[in-house]
Amino acid sequence: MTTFARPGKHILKRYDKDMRKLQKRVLKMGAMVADQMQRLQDALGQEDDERARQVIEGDRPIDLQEIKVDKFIIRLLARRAPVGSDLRYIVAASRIVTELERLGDETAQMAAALFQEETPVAGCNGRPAHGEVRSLVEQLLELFEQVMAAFEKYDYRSALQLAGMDASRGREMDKRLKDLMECVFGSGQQVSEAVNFILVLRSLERGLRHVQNIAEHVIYLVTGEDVRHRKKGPASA
Amino acid sequence: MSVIDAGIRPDGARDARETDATVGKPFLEKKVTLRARNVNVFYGEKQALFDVSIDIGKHEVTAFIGPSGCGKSTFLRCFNRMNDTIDSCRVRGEILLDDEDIHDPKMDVVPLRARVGMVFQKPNPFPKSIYENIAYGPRLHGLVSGKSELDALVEKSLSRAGLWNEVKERLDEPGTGLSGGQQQRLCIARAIAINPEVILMDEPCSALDPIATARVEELIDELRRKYTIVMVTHSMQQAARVSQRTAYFHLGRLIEVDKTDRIFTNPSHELTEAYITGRFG
Repeated sequence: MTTFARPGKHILKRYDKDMRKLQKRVLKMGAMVADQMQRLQDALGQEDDERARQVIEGDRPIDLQEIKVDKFIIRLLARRAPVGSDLRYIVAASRIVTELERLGDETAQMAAALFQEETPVAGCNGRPAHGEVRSLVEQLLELFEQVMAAFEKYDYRSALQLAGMDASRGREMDKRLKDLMECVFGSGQQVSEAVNFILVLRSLERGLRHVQNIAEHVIYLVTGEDVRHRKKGPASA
Repeated sequence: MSVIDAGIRPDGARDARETDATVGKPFLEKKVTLRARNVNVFYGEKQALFDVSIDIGKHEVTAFIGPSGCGKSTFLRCFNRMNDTIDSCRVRGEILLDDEDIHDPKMDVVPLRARVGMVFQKPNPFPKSIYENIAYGPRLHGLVSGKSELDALVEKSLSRAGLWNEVKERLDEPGTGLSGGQQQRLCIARAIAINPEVILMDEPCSALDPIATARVEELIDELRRKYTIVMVTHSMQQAARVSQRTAYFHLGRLIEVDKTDRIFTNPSHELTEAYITGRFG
């Protein structure tokens, strides 16, 4: 049985401290993104414009956190000249931070698209979209929390299940997104009426892809195998 | 998705070894200059190396890394029978240089050491002029027939070692008067002058500053086009910068050999991983 154990302690205690700090900062950024998704979910559930505005404004701190983590990573590379599992961890953390920043962008863009008008956004067959989107955001948040837990726990098995489109945990969500997209385009509905809904579906698709990308980075950091682009997922990020 | 579907090694190589077999790729399919098979070395009763087997690729730099006392320098010295100079030292096993057994009774160690040159940790120029440091070997081995040929060889060797422009105006000055980095390059030029196939380097930069180290590393990179180089280094970064293959030794055993990129990004053995990342001990 293959086991990829979490590496032990460095002789240099400061190095361990730096690595823990890096993990903490990435997890903090992940928690910020999760908060944003939760806020969007609440805004959709309660038709709360104020909450939606908070989501749009909440993207800025995530961007700033990205810069902060990036600076820390550059310092780590310069000071520690990492190799082996340390190098993989730092490279993966750097890639994950980029995915998190984009997930934050997608969340804010969804809030902007869903709450920019007086009337609720129309979804498939002209039905109000908020309920459907809320459920999809909930699903995305669940997957996102799972992948961040995989990162925290060094859990490549869980990451494997999240990474691939086939038989992955994201398959159900992916199918729902496809069905909704087909419904919008197949119902004879004016595209101009559904444009915001389409934008939101695209953001959700990209969000799902970012979650899968994070899972791939977790696999890389634990096992050293680069599984990116092995299977072309239907969603585009 | 299964582990295998994802392309992840299912062999569990990262787990603690259950056998003494070296992991990675100790043997090569391409051209090999040196082949070592089941080499065991003893200092008196004490065994220093255990069944080491490895191929050294032609025109490659192979780096030996590992903690002090792991046997890497002992193994390096096996390649030109330098261990013969230690009374208590016994070497068992087979080492082939271009398919010739270096322990064959017919093998003369003097030409062997000309074919397999050595550069040591501390620069050790002869207490002679810069010119004589280079000229001594070719003269001894009868590689040149006249003064002009010898002059040309001295210039060629110093040029290859990247030292000619720095010393051409003072060839009569003592080699010991050069800076540490220049002395080390003089020793490399001295090794090159007798036209070896292999150059063994035992921590060649450990006594040098970063600039002199960079010059020697640049030189090693150029030399590998013409020579096969085996080096022992304590600097992980140096092994990563200079070598194409890296071998990790631990307590007299060869634990892992692989492409250098692989060793420093995703080694197969947990001992290698612990050593390169500074988690050893």
